[in-house]
Amino acid sequence: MFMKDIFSGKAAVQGRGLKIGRFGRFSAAVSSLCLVLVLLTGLVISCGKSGKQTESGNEKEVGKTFSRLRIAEQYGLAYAPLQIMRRKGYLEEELPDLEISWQRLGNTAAIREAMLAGRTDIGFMGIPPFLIGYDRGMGWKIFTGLSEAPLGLVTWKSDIRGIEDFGPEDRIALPQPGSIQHILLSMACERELGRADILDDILITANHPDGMQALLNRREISAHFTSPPYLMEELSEPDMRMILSGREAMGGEFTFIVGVANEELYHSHPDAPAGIIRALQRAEGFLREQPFDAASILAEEYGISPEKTAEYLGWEGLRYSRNLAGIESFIHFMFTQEYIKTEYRMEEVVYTPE
Amino acid sequence: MKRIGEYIAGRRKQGQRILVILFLMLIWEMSARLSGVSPLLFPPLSAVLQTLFTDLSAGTLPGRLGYSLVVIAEGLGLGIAGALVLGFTGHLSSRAAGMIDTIVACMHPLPGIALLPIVILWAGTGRTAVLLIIVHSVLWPLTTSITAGIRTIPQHLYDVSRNFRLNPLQTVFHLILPGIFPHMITGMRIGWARSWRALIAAEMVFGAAGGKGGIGWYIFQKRVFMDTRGLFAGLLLIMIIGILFETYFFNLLERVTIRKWGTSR
Repeated sequence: MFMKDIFSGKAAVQGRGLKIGRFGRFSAAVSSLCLVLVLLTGLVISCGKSGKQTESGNEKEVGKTFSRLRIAEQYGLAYAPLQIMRRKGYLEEELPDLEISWQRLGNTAAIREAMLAGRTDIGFMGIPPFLIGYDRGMGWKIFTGLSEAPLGLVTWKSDIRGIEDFGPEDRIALPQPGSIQHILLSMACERELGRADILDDILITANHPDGMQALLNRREISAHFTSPPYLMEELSEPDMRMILSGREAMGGEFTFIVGVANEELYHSHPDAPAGIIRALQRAEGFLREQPFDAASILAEEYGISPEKTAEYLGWEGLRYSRNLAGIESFIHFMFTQEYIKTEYRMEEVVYTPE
Repeated sequence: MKRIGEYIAGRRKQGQRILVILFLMLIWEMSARLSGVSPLLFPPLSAVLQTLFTDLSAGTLPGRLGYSLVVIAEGLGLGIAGALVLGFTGHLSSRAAGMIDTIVACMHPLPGIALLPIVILWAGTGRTAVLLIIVHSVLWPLTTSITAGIRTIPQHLYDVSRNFRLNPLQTVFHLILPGIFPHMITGMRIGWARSWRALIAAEMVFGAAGGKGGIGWYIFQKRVFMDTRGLFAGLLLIMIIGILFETYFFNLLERVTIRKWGTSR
């Protein structure tokens, strides 16, 4: 009504701008189209180049000038031999010609992506995420085991005594779908409750520190599926209980963390993984023979006291060993649950020493 | 005549956009196929579209999309309501205006994702947390737009409204709201884009709660299961939704409000 009248005066004043505006818009469209073209050509050229570069870069690494070894690990007590090896310089002694660099990444997906992008040569991770990567076509295999560790589902709720007690309002925190914690929980669900994905709807994704924090708040998160040292930290609270261990879920022993190497690297430079294995053996020896020195080194890494670290190192079920256990069970379960497309044989996913 | 001219210009603009998009699609397909880069790093467009169609028709994607859109609509609604309250409060009292300006100046530069740890502490990791992050990302820019809108209404229009003996409520409905609408729509366009970013960032940090999640969760799941095509499909879907809303929803909103009222062209 009058509002319209009020503004129509204003519109009439601005009317003159129309033609200039439209003409300007048209030429702007043309010039922006040109800009897009130029940018795209640049992008495609640089893409093609960088693609070639990584290829030739790989060739270089395969060839004579392979000079650095980039190793990705994650945070936790299960990686202790790597942390000892790094602090004591064992790997530098075993592979003096190589420049060793360590990367600590937040989760397995990040390690996978770093390897895919050609920024990491060796990665340490749980078996299920490795299998997912293998299944999707990553050229990598396991070259060693690193550790067995007690994993567990911890709750503070007194009315939850087993996985059958979780209701729709409960929340279980674990690292991510497809992680070893998730697969173990699914295994237990399939065996005890008849359906592997029965608890999937109440899962929450959280990395270990966040998950622990949320559990200790005792509000939203009912339970947390975690690994050392978070497992021990949580269980040191009087009201926290473990209602499912990794071993129970699996129905046997299994390797928690494995070492994975790029196939190209493994075949062209077998000395690199071999050097890592020798350094691992020395680190395992150090952990066994001088547990207190090892604990004080690791305590600095984790920011917990040496006494506690020593106690955690002696925890039942934590074992540093290069043996591989449980791979077939993981493959079988993940195949039947359609996480992977093929039921691979052991020798397809593990390097056989020549 | 003017209308026909506008119509043709509009058609031409749309045609140009479609051409640019087709061109981009061609470049994508060709560069993925010709560069020899692993499809795990950069899948060709055809494969991505295939994944997008299967997930849209048979998979969980429509549910995820709906969930995201509902949360965004709620967040935008709350953000608009809050911004209107702040804007009008500032309009009524200059002391409040100073305070609101300061609050906006403090809060606006904070990325939602930086607030996430605090939001999780206060609201847990559920839907409420995502909603809070969205409201945060929408509220401050919208408040700025609305305040600016109110300030640009010329004094003589207030005088005119007084001549018509409009009471304060009528002034709001007949003068201020139509007057600030162009600014509000600009603010909403910004807010819409920001709320998408906020939603997806938040969902990629703590994922889904109670089995329900949006597009961010979809992308996260594709990442952990190493489905690069799915990753791209998620991004593509966000772009498509963005373009659809931009060309249809916001333009329609402009046509039925500010153009009809004559406050803007």
